[in-house]
Amino acid sequence: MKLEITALRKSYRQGQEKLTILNNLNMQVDTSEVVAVVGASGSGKSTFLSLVAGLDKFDEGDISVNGHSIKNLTTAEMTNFRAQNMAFVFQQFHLVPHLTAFENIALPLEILNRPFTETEITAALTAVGLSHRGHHKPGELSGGECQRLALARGLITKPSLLLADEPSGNLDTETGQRVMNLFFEQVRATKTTTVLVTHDRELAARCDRIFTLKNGRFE
Amino acid sequence: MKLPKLFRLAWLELVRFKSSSVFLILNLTLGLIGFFILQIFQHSLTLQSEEKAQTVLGGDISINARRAFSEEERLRWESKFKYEAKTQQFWLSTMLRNGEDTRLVTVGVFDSHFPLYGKFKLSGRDFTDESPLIWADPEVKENLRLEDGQMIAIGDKQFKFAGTIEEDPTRLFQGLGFAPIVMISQRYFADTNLLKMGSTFNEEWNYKLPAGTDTEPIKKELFNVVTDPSVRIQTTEDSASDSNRVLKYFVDYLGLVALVALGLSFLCGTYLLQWTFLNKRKTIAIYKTLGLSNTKIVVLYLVQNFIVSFMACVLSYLVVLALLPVCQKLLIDTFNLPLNLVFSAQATIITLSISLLGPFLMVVPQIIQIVDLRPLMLLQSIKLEGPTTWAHRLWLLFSVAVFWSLAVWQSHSLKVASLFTGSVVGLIIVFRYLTQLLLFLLEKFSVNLSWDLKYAVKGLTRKPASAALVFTTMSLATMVLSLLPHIKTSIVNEVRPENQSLIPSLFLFDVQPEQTAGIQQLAQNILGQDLFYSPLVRSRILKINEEKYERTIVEGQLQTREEDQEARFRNRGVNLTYRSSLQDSEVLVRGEFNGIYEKESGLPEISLETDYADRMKIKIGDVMTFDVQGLEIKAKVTSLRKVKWTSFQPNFFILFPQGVLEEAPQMFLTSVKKANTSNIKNFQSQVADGYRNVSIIDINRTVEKSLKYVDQMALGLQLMAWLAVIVGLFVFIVLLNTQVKERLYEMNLLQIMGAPSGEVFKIVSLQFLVLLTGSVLFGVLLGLAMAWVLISYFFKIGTEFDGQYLVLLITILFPVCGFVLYSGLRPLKRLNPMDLIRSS
Repeated sequence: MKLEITALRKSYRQGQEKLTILNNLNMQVDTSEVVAVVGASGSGKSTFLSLVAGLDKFDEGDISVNGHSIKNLTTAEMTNFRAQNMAFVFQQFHLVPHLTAFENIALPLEILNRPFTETEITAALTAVGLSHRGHHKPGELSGGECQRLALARGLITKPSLLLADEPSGNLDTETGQRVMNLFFEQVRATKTTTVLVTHDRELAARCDRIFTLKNGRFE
Repeated sequence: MKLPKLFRLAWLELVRFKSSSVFLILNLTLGLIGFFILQIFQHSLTLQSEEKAQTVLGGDISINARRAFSEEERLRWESKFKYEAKTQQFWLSTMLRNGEDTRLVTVGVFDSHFPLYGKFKLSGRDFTDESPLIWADPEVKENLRLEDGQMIAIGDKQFKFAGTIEEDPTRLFQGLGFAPIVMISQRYFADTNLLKMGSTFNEEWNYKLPAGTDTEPIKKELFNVVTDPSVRIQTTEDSASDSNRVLKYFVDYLGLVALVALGLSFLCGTYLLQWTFLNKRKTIAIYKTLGLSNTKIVVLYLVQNFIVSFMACVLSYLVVLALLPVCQKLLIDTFNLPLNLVFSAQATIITLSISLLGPFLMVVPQIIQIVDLRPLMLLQSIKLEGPTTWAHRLWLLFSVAVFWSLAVWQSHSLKVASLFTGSVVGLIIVFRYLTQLLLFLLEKFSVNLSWDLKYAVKGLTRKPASAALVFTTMSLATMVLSLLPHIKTSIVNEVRPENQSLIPSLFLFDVQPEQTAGIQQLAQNILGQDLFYSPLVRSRILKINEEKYERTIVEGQLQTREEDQEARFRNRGVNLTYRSSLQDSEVLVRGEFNGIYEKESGLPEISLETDYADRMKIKIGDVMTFDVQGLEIKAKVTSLRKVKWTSFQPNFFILFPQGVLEEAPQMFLTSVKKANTSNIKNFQSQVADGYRNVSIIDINRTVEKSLKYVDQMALGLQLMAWLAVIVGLFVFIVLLNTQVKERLYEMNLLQIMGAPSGEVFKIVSLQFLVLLTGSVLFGVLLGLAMAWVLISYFFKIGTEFDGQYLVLLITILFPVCGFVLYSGLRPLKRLNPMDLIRSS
């Protein structure tokens, strides 16, 4: 999967003033490549990720995934495109609280109407070390377990592009490290093209390439 | 995502938000119970009225008038349809006397064919014309202390008392009548000489048509032949609706009170759904990022809504099933109504439809928000818009329109429904602004209070929407509950004779001109008072402003109260009177009334009662043409006057000046002022003996009988109003629960910052106590104000507030609310600051 971003521009209105957050961003990510987008707080990292995911509209430029531009997709088309091609790992996990770990992983497959077996889900749980927690709900899991579950959920659909927003940001250093080890292990093993947004330089260094956001541009 | 998976997800969410799902189901159930019971009541009533319509009417088609029909007239209508059998009856009022006891009765004079359908159940022996026998309602037997076999006179003829009427198929659900009934055979009617004496009577012809005949075309055809609008032509369909008219009026108003409960529950449901939605926003955003489309998410929530509504409907069905025997017992024992309450498919379908459609309407704001919700919220903190778009406003308007339609359907009156909906919407707006004012004042005056009181006030002022909802629902429910007893007390105070010395004891009618002097003499001798006679001239309206005044033919079923009343008014003859001046019970409101007519001054000037003029759409300056026994009389409306009907004086809609109607055939009415009971009894006996055609109404007895019905109706309405209060209390419980959950975080925080747990409990208790006390007191006050408005402008009588009930109501409501408050706030007593750490 190839991700191409050309001359991307995004601004917000704040009262009478127009605030440019991202300005003329260009990026190319090749298949199986893991890239990091780093920057200080407020540099526009999350805005960038939301544009790539098609969660927000950009003003100028284009984003294409595997040669398909997402620029002119309607909300419904984007939702479908996202489900088919992308997956997320959020800083705050964002798991469905009333579903068990097993059900949380199965949910994206159910949404996509893709047939699955119990073994596949169990294997996904095992891959992130949660085989014994399948019947637990997110409220009964620790932060690290939740993030591992979120990772398993993200990878279950075999997405072309994995978008991760500060995956270890909500975890202590040790747990964060363990989760990120697993994260890299999994994305490398599955050869998933990944965009990782983080402010952690050490973490970014483990990626194939680093893009630094400053004043709305990649340095 | 496939539908079964979507159903499962919907179910899992319902289970996850268990408490709000349960609250939603219970809330809808409570709202539906009253509505459901009422539907069962209405449909049982309609069903049983329809089933017994033929027996109530005594045939398939009935033609009657308050006059005698000529043979030519009868043959003319009989040529228009085929019939298998027919029967003729007369109905008239007269006095029955046994020793010192007298009683006004309605005499039913039947031929041997009556009734064409159904059968009278008589004690003693069956109806026969072999000998002059009389059967009477049990009330007559009791009042006059009649013995079986005893002789009793009707007019000039002696009849032998054969027994009581145990069951009369023609009187289904008709409780309120001026007089009980006695029945005699037509063979001996002429011997009574009552018609010769000038009694008012009704002649009625009933026909049995071949099976399967459609009566509606015949009715239309008959209207072409029988042009006199005072002749009433009824089919079984008319009879079905006529037989329960009073009950239907009552059920209509009961329905409106039930709608208050239903409306409150929908209001609470909307709040609950919104509260749950706010807690589910993040989950919805997750669904969206995972690829679930808006349509699927909307379907997911509609499915949840369907499950909740369906469960509420099933639950209300079960509750009603359990309550039905109690209601049935209440109907028979307390209301003396022989109505068999049965579950009908129609009642269930209507309730099911309302229980499904209502929540679908409630969920619209959430659907709008679901579509608008951006999954971006998972990555960034974005400002979430509330449902305040044009779509939301449209939804509000549509909801009001639906509520109005329900009110029209329930009350069968555009006027009443509009007034009701307008009042409810108006009150909700008033409550909203009033809450804002209350909160503003609270905030202003709390500046110098201690920190905990200030904090309590802030908790209210920063959550104005939920504060307004508690205030609105509790005030509205309390208002409905406190309103009715004042109306009842005022009616009782107005009409109960011992409270009003001006109300007469007796009312005499059918007095012939030659009898006035004799009865006057009796009154002077026995009672020491002069009687003032009011003449009554029968007529019918021919034209209004030269436009032919025609009978209103009502077609179809959906008829409003107003149309029904107008049709009934148009289709009957009018009684005229003449006087030189207005009497005490009348007040001129517009124009002038010249009591003496002089030929050279043009048309006679008449005065109309205001409501009658409104209903008939007649205004000052209109010219009316009357047919008085074949003679056309024109008159100009020059004044409108208000009439105090509860004065029990001889009052009329149309008043002529002296000098116009004196020569017309007429009879007189008069009333007898309060006097010594034995003298009154003596006077009654003497009149009954000497003037057998004269009917005497014992006002005391009539009023007491009417008040019994007022009592019963008030009880029914009051029971329904209590249901509204229960819903109101439930809304309070729901709000308390959700608000406590919302406040747990900040209360934990307060405790961490050093506030003792008692203080924290006090803060939240104070918040709800203020709301509760304010809303209950305001509801009571508003109930007083609304009662005053309704009593003064709708019932048009003096206002008498029921202080005792008010005290009782407050005594009951406050402890109940206090208990609910204490139970609802218990989680605050178990505060654990550790929860704060865990949640973060």
